[in-house]
Amino acid sequence: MQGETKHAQKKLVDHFVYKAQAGEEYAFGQLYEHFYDRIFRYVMFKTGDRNEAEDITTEVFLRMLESIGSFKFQGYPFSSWLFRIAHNLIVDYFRKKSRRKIVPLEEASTVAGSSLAEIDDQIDIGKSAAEVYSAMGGLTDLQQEVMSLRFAAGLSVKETAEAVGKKENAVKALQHAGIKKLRSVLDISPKKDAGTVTPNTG
Amino acid sequence: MNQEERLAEIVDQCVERLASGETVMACITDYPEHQAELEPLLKVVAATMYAASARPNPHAKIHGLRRLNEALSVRKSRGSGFFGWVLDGIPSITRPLVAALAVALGLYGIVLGADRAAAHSVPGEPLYWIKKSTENLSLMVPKSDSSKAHQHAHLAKLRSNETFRLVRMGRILEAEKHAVTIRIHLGQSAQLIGITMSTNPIEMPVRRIKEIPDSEISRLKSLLARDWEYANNVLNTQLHLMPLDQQEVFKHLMRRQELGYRMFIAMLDRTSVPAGPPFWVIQPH
Repeated sequence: MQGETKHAQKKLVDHFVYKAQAGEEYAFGQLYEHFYDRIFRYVMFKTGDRNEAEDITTEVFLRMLESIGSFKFQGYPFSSWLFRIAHNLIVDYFRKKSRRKIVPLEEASTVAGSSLAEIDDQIDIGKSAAEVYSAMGGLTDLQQEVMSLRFAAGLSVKETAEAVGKKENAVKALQHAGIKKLRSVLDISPKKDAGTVTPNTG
Repeated sequence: MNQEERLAEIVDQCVERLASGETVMACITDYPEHQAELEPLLKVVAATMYAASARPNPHAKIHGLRRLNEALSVRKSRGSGFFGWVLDGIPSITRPLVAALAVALGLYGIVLGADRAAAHSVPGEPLYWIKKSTENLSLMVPKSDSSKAHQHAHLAKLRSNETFRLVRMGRILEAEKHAVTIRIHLGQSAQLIGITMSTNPIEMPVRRIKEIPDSEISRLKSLLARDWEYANNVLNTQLHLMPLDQQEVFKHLMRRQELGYRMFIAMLDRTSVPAGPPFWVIQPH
């Protein structure tokens, strides 16, 4: 069911890309609406600066407008192409800024939405957004990129693979290695009193 | 697949599940044999997702959309300049060749593409008469009533595009007058398919007076539903871009158009006119 929805969404995006390439103005609006939040989250996660993230996100769509004609449907998704633009702009941003700006603790805790705070009320995550953000600095560039695309942008493994130019298995391995590294930095261990869980038969 | 790869695969599956709203515990429960390794890893995933869940400021989002719209307008005006858009980004050495090619293409377009160029025109523009003449000629071609009904449904969609284009151009009064033509085409389509549009289904119930196959009715219905859904999506997006004083007119025209489409679709269903939303009383300001 979820696969069908994703497939339908991809078809819709492809349709709007075709229309945008044909110069239909409304299609740009639709692509903007579809991708804005995800691009913003991705940029925000990587830069840690809300104002910069808003500017860069807008710039991503202006670049899209300029170069959408050069996008070709050759098996890789439009989202990967768009996130590559975002990635390049972030690289430019960090090039201009000599060092990464650290997001203040208060800001980090307020920028996060509540939906994921409710992701699990049975397990205490016990780590603030700022701690995670800081721990991300210890990952390799590629691990960071994969984690950002997967967790902030919500790209699938396939889309992430296309965006970073790697195979799907490599993306899964990078993701796994990244998670393990974060685990050690964040010092998260299993609950001592967790006991054994019973299989979900329902 | 070794143990580590297997765990990476499970973690990946759980990432997808967490992203779709499932809990860490639900995922662990499905893999009790990996509980000890899985739990801390999934806590990391949940914490990372949490940290990466920033929400954009709606004002910034609208501001960005306005900038995109401005850039679109600039691109459009650049495109209407004779060579500006064509030559943009082309190395100067090849420009004469490209310019010559553009002239040739332009001439070709003038001869063969006037109709295409007219396709985006609105009432009052020089090419609009070409568009109307082509439509009128096309309506005169002998064809079945059902095909003509489809054609009128298509023309209703074109009139709708023109109406909202007029609003965007600030030609509000003309847009309001032009909106009437949408209803006219829908009415003609209904007549051709054998039903009479009525706003009072009690005094004048919907009746099919022609024997049109159900498959044709259903085809027309899905065409109308698709056109309306498509137009509605587009118009809702455009609504945000409108200056505040034009938004009310835009919404008013949208509601009128929705009324026309929904009535027609309901009548094709041979049901009574739907109650509820589009039948609110709409009072012009």
